[in-house]
Amino acid sequence: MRNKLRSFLTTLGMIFGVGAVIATVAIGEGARSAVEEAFASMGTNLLVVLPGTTNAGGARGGSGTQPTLTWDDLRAIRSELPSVRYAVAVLRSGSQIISEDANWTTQVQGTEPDFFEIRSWPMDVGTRFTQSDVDSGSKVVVLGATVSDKLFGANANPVGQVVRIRNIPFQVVAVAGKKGQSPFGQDYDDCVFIPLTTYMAKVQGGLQKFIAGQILITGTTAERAQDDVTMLLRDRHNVRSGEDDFSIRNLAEVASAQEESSRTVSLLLAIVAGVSLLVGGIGIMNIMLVSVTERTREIGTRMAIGARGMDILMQFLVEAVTLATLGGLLGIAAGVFTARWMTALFHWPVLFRADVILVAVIFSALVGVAFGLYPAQKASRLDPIDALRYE
Amino acid sequence: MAALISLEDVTKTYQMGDVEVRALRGVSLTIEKGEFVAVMGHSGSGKSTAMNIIGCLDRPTSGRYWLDGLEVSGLSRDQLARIRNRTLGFVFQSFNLLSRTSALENVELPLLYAGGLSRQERHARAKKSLERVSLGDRMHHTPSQLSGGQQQRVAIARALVNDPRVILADEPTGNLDSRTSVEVMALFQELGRSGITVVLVTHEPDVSTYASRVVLLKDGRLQSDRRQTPAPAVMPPDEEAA
Repeated sequence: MRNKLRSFLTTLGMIFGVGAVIATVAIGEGARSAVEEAFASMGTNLLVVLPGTTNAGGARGGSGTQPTLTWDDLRAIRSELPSVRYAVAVLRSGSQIISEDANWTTQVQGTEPDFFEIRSWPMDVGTRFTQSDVDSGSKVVVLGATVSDKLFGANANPVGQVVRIRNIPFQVVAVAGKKGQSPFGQDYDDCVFIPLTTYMAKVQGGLQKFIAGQILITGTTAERAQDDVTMLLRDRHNVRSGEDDFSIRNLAEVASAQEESSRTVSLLLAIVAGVSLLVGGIGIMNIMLVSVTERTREIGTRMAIGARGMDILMQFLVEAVTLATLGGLLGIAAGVFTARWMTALFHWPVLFRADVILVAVIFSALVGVAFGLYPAQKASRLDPIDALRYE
Repeated sequence: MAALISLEDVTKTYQMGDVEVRALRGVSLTIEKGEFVAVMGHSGSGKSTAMNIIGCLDRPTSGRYWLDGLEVSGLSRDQLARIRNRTLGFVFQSFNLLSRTSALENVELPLLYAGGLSRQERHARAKKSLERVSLGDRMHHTPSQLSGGQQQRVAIARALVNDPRVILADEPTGNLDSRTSVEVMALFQELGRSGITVVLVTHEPDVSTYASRVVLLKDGRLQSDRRQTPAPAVMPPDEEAA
């Protein structure tokens, strides 16, 4: 305790251990919260219903190759299932969009206003199209942020301007807020939205019985809605379980798989933390044993003037706990510094959690107790005469 | 009236491997309040063992020991620690002060183990004790900033701070020059006059002349026990305390 350099070297084990844990947890948490944000931006409780697959002579065509979902199915999902909050069809195709002096090829999506509720997607400027635009087949368009930038330049306000899709003029009514990337790297903002009816009439070319796209649904809970929609569609399509001509993807499941993998990483971190704290603790035990030996005469003197075994025990235990806690605190500082440095260097997102830091402090103190107990006990059981005589 | 210290046929036997060492072979001794006793003897005479038993650091193998009316031969480690703290004060040959700790804090230490005193009370009593050994002006010095004689006086202040009945001094002048030795002996004589019993272990005949009683041990037995008129411990008046 009194030898500053020695105390510092002793606590290095704690400093590195706790520092590594704090830094990696901060980086891991940063990554996790970035992923979580990305999933949240896709919409909560989101289900995607895809039409079935063709099966021509054994060659199976993959999801969506055979139109099996009808507009009547969609209406039934909306009206018959209380567990479904919103359900909309989304039809999409690639197309070139031309403004007065630029062009850009992007995805045109035909949908209904509820789509923006499902995706919890606010407008940046302007007002999105309404149900009456859908009913009347208005030629209006909502631009994604990327498309707006490409056609009109960054920070321009294109509301009121006219763009041409397949040579048909559309009036820009809004620019959607920036969503960023999907967890899989796809740019959410690189698309435009037009009313469903307009899409069917002008882009797809005529109305059809089947939905040539997918249905997006949000339910009160994803599981309930998934079960209800599955039952309803089986009933309507007259198929049994295992013969489904549609598929439902539950994005909550994808998100929870992601969470599962981050839990595995957390477990590994905890193991690393445990091992490094063990190493730090052994360092502290070692120096405390040296200290007890060095101060044998002091212990003898203290006993002669009236210190009981418990007094000596507490003295050395407090010293060990102080050392360990100090090491822990320095480790936290080192960890925070390292994580910030990583952010500055590689632009990694980091997130410091107060509870993690608190646990690190408490654990450091506990390491001090666990590894300081044996040396302290050894000191407290010394015979005062032998201790006084010790050279 | 019961004696302050009373040893009754005390023996102490150590087991050193296969060899039995009989350090004390039946010592009986009574010491009254206010006596200044020098315990003398060659090395191996048993004087250190006798000192350890009187100082409650060790327990006799047989025989009985009363200290201040209490039979202490059968007490537990913690009970003995309490007696060392309340009734006894120790002074060692090499002072045994905590280095890098101020004189005041060194003197406060026994009060800390006694418990039950506030910080201010501990400070006040430690200060009074240091003033008693004329070191009131060196309270905040650490041992390395003090001379040997001053360090030993700090140690005596530490021994006095709990108002003990007995001061036990083990070769207290062994590491001091002759002039500072006289200073320390003067202090012990003064303590005796104020009613504190002093038991001093020494092998220097010079030192024993300041005591009022000399006990000689040989081969674990009491060889002689005589009372004497203590020599006056007078310092040369022209010299300052070093």
